[in-house]
Amino acid sequence: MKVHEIRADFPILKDVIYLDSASTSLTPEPVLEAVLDYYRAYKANVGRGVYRLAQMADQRYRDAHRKAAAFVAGEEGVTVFTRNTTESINIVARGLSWKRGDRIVTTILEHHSNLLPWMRLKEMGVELEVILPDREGRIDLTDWEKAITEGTRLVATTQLSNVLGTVIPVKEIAMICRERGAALLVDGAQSVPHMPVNVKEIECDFLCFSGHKMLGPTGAGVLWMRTEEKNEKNEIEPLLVGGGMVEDVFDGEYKIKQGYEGFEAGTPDISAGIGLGAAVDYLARAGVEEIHEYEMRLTRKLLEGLEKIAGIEIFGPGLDSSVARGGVVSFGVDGLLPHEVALMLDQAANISVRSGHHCCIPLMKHLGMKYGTVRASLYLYNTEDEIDKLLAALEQIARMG
Amino acid sequence: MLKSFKCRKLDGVEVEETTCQVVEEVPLSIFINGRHFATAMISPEMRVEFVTGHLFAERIVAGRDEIESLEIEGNVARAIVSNPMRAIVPRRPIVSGCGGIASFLDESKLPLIESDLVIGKEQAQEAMKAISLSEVHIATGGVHSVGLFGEKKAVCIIEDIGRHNALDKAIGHALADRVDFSRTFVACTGRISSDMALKCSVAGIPIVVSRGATTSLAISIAERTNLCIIAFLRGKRLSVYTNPERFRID
Repeated sequence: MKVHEIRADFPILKDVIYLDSASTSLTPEPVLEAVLDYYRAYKANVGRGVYRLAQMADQRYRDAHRKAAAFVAGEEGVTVFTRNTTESINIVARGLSWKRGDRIVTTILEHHSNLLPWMRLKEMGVELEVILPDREGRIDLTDWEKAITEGTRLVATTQLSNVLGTVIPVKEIAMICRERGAALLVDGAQSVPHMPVNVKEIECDFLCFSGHKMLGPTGAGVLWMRTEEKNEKNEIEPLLVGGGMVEDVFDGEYKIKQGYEGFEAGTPDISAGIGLGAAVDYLARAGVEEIHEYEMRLTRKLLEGLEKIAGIEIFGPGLDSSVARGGVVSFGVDGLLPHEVALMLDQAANISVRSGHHCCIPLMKHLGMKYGTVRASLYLYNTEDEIDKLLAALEQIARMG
Repeated sequence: MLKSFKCRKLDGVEVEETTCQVVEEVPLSIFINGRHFATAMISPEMRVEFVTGHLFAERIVAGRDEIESLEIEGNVARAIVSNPMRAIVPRRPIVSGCGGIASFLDESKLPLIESDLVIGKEQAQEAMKAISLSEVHIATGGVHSVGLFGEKKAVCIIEDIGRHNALDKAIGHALADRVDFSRTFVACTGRISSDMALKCSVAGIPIVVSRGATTSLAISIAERTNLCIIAFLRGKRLSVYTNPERFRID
């Protein structure tokens, strides 16, 4: 992986130090070209036409599904394109047939997108248990074992906290789920773009992630579903019905298509899907393992620097922690609100970081952080020099607090 | 590769109702960027290799990477290539061919093979022996066999109802493995016609050996592209038609 070559594909990096990839990543030129190529060279609807442009669009769109599936070793399941992780999770929440008394287990680390869809099911008599982690985001496996009871229908967890950066051991959780007969949904929004994720190894039932956080355009996310061992625990009804998703309509009934098409009613965001395929190609060329190692190197440098600055507190696993983490680093500056710090970094040093509750209000309340955190999140296009600039600016800011 | 069919055999005046093993032949229509390009009659195996080898040998793509997408569904192959224009330019027919997949190449744009590979008599004979062991051929008499050989061992040996199909498949297989064609030679059971000579030349394979004959046009192509044609390799005999420096007699 050659960072200077990668940076050339992101011209915007000449103007800004971008440290908010956990929110949305930047988009490289080859992905933009793939999107524009669709509009310029073969704009047509998918699944409907026999003419040349439609054939091209169809094949590219199908290819994008295959690429996204292969990226997580999910060739054997169904890979549906959605708008984003939020939509993917909602499709599962709305698609499973719930009964009064069904039980869902999740954590307080979750993004609202992996919490609200389950909270809403309370109306239907579904019980929700929310596991509380320690300050580093760690949840002991014994806590999982206690929470996932025999009657648990579904476990929904993130694989990488978008606030604390903590990595959750989903493979071990999947084993507990199997023992207890619960289905497992993994929110991979923060993990899939940054580390190797393999659904065959994890053995989850659902994996949800967003294209826009992994160099793709906005508008294309993924819901991957296991298809072997289908049972009432993991089989879902499509959220939408309508055009493009039926094989036949007869006598007031309809027969839904097999595979992803059955879940993608109406004209999808074709260009975003094709762009996601190109993004996956880009990440695969760079090598996900290499990207992960590189980000971890930058993360260690960042943690090291932050720990040295008086007045800065890191939230989440620190440098010496035994808890696995990713390149999402939250911190606070004594005497300053997170938004103030972010504003100063932007105006004084041209550095873009996130601030606030990061769509995790329950976690903020649990950790007693009323105003949230400042969050720097890294990706393959960031550099050590950028980390140095962030640390230098923070040193100055911390002195003001 | 084989199918059984009812058959009425006649031997002199004796008639026998029996079943026979027959090689399978299927059509495969290749679409390039949504447009029909060619329909080939082939043996059903190795369709991916056939399409990649064919598009490469017909110079629609310069390498495997230029095929951006390839889907094969039943008798239809859909390819998306980086430069579909190469599939549309009027191509001047210069050769004969079998079925629907004659080679069309502009003679003025013939490639030049760059290789210093030299093979000896034994190598050629061994290769010919290796491709003649086809069980399907023995059972049906209905297939051609083409082998692509490296200096030490066979890259692949392919059987197909058409010798040009078999060569396309061999080239397609080697492309996937990123084989250096300049260090390989081809041995085949069928005639070295102009289309066979062209395919070898485009791939950059410096030597082609056959048990069968060759043709005048194949020789004139081989002279221009630096291809060594060795025909009528049977037992101790053989005939070198072009570029004899690539063949060691001792």
